[in-house]
Amino acid sequence: MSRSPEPADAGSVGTGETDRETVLDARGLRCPLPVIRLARLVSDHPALQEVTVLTTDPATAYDIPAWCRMRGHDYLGSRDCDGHTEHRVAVRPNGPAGAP
Amino acid sequence: MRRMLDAASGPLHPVARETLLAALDAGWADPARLYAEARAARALLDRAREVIADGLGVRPGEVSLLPSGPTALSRAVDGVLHAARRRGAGTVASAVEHSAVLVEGRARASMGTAGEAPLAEVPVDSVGRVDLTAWGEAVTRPGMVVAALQSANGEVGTRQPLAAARELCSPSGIPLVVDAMASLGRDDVPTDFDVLVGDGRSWGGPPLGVLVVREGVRWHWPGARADVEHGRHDVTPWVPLALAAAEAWQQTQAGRAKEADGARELVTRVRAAAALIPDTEVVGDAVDRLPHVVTFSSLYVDGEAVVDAFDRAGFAVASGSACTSSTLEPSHVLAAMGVLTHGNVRLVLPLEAVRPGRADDVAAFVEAMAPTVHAVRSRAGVNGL
Repeated sequence: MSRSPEPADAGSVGTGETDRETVLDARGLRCPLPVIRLARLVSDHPALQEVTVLTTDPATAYDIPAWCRMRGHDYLGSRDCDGHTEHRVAVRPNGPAGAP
Repeated sequence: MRRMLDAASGPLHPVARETLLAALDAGWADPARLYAEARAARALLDRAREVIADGLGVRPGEVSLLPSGPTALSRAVDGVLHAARRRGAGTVASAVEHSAVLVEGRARASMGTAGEAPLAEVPVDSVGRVDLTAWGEAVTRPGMVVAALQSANGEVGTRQPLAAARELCSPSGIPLVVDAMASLGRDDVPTDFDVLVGDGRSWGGPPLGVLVVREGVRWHWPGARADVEHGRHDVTPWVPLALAAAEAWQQTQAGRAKEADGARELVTRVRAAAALIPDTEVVGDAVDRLPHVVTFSSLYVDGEAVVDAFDRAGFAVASGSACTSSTLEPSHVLAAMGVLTHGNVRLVLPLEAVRPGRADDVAAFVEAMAPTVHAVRSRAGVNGL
């Protein structure tokens, strides 16, 4: 089981790591853990604007979009990579408060 | 004290249980034999079939009894496909249909050459109701010969618009197979069907598949033995099961309106209490639904942990979360609806005649809901996340 990387030490994907974008490696974790890690990451790093989540649990295909809807964030989509799925989430500032 | 809130597979109605026990002695013989005990068993089987046919508003000759509801559902679709094989091999089904329809439909689609036996999985909205525009489009595609739709979903309770769906099928001459495995005995008997499927378990009976093929519907099963179950199965049903199912049907029909009102009221209370739990989605249509089914999903909660917590507190409940299934796949129903699949809890209320303390059980559950979810979240350290 991999621990959720902090934005500073997470592996680089796409445009790389900044305090606004990061990668969460949730591979090997089963729901609800990937969603919990994602929520913690977003809550601990208020400056984050976009998170890429790597997962292997098929339930994340439904639960990450559902979390986005419940928390007022935008689910930007997913793509299948080698052995895992990459989900992109646009974080809305004050997401929970702004949730419908 | 055990509180049984997952009646999807029993227990039996107490009178049906008595009937089953008595029928072990009175109806054990093979109805196809010619001696006295066998003739008695034949008479009992005929009587059971008449009771079920009468309850469903069809003729006894239209009713076949199969070993289980899912077997009957699979057979229902196969029979239409076989009869229509010269016109095509395509299946239209909502994305929340029973896996007996979807898994076999996908298997047919993946065998053979591309597009030979397509499966159109018609999307549903967030309460699980089929998209009628997409349905209407799917049934007019070339090669589509059978359509399958539930009267109501057994996981989330949402009813389907059968009349409208069947009307959309009719210009293409596609028979509609209605899966009523969750609703018979609990809700009005569907009338908008060409082929109907039920399961004795939904009305307090034992597992028993009921397959109704309306006269005039083009249906044929190549494995038929003409003398068995009107050519729709190859084994005569076990008479005690048929008798117990018929007895349960009669018992259930006697007070169905009152029973359903009671269940509906209890489910309304569970829905209201679930809606008050933080970050919890109550799933399925609030009004146009089965009276006795309710499900909700709580964010950040592990499905297995919450089922286990309720179990230790005395409540038997079900779940559609991935970790509670042997496949580790979440419920395809919740997935198709786009609702949260983890932290899912599902109640299928027993008939009051089966559990006379049902109202107390639900009241106790309503009390236990929020503290139980809170405790599971506390252990995971996710409260307030």
